[in-house]
Amino acid sequence: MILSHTIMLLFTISTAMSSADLMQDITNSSGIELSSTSGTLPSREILEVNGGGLALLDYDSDGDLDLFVANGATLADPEHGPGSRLYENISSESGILFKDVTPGSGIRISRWAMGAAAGDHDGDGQVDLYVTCYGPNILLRNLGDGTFEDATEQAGVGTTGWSTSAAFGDLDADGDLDLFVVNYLEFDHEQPPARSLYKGHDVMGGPHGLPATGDVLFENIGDGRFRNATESSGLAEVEPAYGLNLAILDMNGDGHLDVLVGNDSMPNHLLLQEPGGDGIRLAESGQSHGIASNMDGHDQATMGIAVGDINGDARPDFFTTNFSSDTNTLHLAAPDGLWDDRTMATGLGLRSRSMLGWGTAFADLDHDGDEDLLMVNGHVYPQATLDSMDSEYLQPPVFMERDGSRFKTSRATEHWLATPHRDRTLVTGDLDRDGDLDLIIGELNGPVRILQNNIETDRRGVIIGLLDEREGAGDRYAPGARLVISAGDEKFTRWIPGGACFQSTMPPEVHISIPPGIEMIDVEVSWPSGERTAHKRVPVSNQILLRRTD
Amino acid sequence: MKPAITSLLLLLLLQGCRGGTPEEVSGNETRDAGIKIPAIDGDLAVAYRLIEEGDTGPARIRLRGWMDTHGEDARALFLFGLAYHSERRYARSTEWFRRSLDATPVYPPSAHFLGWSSYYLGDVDTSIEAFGRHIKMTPGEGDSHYGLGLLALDAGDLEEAEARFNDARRLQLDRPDRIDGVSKALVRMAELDELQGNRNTARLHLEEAVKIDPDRVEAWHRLARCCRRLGDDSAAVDAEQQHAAALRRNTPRTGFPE
Repeated sequence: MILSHTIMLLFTISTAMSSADLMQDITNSSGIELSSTSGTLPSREILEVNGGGLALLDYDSDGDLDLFVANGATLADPEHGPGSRLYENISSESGILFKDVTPGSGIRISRWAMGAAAGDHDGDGQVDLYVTCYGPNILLRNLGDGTFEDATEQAGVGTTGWSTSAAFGDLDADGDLDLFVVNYLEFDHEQPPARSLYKGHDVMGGPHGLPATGDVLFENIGDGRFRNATESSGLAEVEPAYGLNLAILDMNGDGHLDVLVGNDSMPNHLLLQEPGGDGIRLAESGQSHGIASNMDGHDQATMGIAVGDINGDARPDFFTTNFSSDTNTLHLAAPDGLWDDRTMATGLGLRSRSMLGWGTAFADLDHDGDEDLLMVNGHVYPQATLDSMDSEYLQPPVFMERDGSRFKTSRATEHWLATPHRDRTLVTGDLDRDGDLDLIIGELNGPVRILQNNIETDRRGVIIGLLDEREGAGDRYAPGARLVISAGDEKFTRWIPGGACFQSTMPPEVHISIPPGIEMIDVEVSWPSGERTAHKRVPVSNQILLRRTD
Repeated sequence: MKPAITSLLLLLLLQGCRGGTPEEVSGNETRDAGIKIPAIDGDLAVAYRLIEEGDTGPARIRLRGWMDTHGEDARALFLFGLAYHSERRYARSTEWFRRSLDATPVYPPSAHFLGWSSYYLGDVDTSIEAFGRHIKMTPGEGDSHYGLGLLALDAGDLEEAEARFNDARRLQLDRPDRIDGVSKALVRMAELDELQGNRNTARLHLEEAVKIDPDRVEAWHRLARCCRRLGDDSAAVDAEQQHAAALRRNTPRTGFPE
């Protein structure tokens, strides 16, 4: 009797504590019962440590966000893993709920999948998927009836080797989506590299010592077909690097989309477009723009990339997550077009030294109007402990709350931030369409976790998406577009993400929270084509779709 | 920053030893606190040399043997910590530095290195406390002021950071054996200048840093950017070349798999 009372009491306390948390882990009731596969535990080779990416997309055009999970395989048989999964969002007023629709979707990817990019590659109004793999990548064409077909060969976007991330973006501003694929390194699971040393410990080999592989650009030539533009764009001239991630947006405000590639232990690549020529031309200038490395010129192991406007100047600032015993890095855009490493000055440096960071995002989770910083963490070496490597193998997510121009660790005792994991990636999106941002976190060889946002403030959450409905528009959801939103006296700058996170794709929409009493907002959109449209006095609702018509 | 190398050099410097052996500095007094730093001599000096040469395992074995005979001694415990510190295993080194600080004879460098090990672990509070403790024991120690300057920068207290970097520079300025300490401070003073929009002053500080310490890799990198932004492309190109040359001479350890 006493025992049952005690259990009841503990249950009550536990429930009360978790319901007070900003984010509540609802995985158990979400309908997602997937423990991802990325080799076996403990990880033995570098191929096993990235985990699989996530993509939030509306594959069935019903207005909510569905989920694709890139799932891996094992070293014993990289071509035949348990398979990537597609989940349909069937949430209702009773809560967030997903349904595994993989079996009837035509998606049969058992190859070791790494990343996922979502975009309407053929302009038919349906969101397609590009899945990066260890082995040939796969383009899944959305047929519009809830099913996909493998269109890789037809589209001409096949690759070999090991790709990590990819993203769609209309780089040549011709109205359709081009595709940028980030490659990592040459790895042969049958002949793995020699082992290495880290802080005096025997660890898995790589990336050092393994040949890096160059990234690939596919230019959309219409009718759902692409041509390999790696050579013609100048990308082939860029020194290959251990690429892990990318962000596509207009970096320098010249009206053309550019690409930032985050590289592991090598300089990041800033690929700025050189407009005016025939086709896409990219020139690498990360070093001279101050974004290739940290402020001391030291290369870092860039894993995740978050894009936001920290200082309210409408220019893109970048936060990157890095290896342990190093700091994460915040590069602030300066008025002269360069970026400055302001990690220390914003309080983001020292506290990240014991963390090995992966997916990251700026997000106004707590609806206070500014974007906080979220990152998920976990070490690559299974033997990592604080004692052996100054960093634990399992690490909790970190939420850094904005404090004016700086960041401070916040809510660390809340359950969702107190529990360590082997996390690798995250995506944010309004899963239940209530106007706030929920989270999906992917863990290495662990569950895909769904965290529902419980925020209750007097500020109102607003999700804004874009839809280009002009005749012939292929990049309908405008990845890479910038939105400057005015709500009363407050101004917000957001980007429709092209890439970022880690091996994942965020939904093509932005989120803000606005002061109470605001009924209308103004939005200025900088489209990927460089054109701008002004949308005045847009009525406020939880979900706003800004349409562009002829 | 190159913690292991810098720290080992610093050890020599803390003992007032200018390239000599630890025995040569026995009985040295710190400059202004009057606390006598006990000598690292005999077998401890041998262990120290092993650490310096990277033979940290044999050094620890020797230190264990020494402590079996002599008991826990602050100097031996410090060297144990130093061995781990030089391996960049800071969680472990902090334990030994802490033990050293609880033991006798009082050995001030343990506080200094506890400050750095904790810094590299991201343990801000311990780092601040340890550097502060070291400065109380040896107020003239510029590198602990430098550490506190970095921590102030991380806390957003630019005024305090500026004062600390100035102290670090001033306290080491007239010591030829502390050139790297001065140049480090100058680099960070330039960072504060840039944060406050004083790019010309930043350039002067960086130029002074590379003049006295041409191996200061990050100073060349920052100087190149600074010159580029000031429109002096020629100086920027020169600094970039010097940066590349400094890197070749002195490849920074990244902390990634070796």
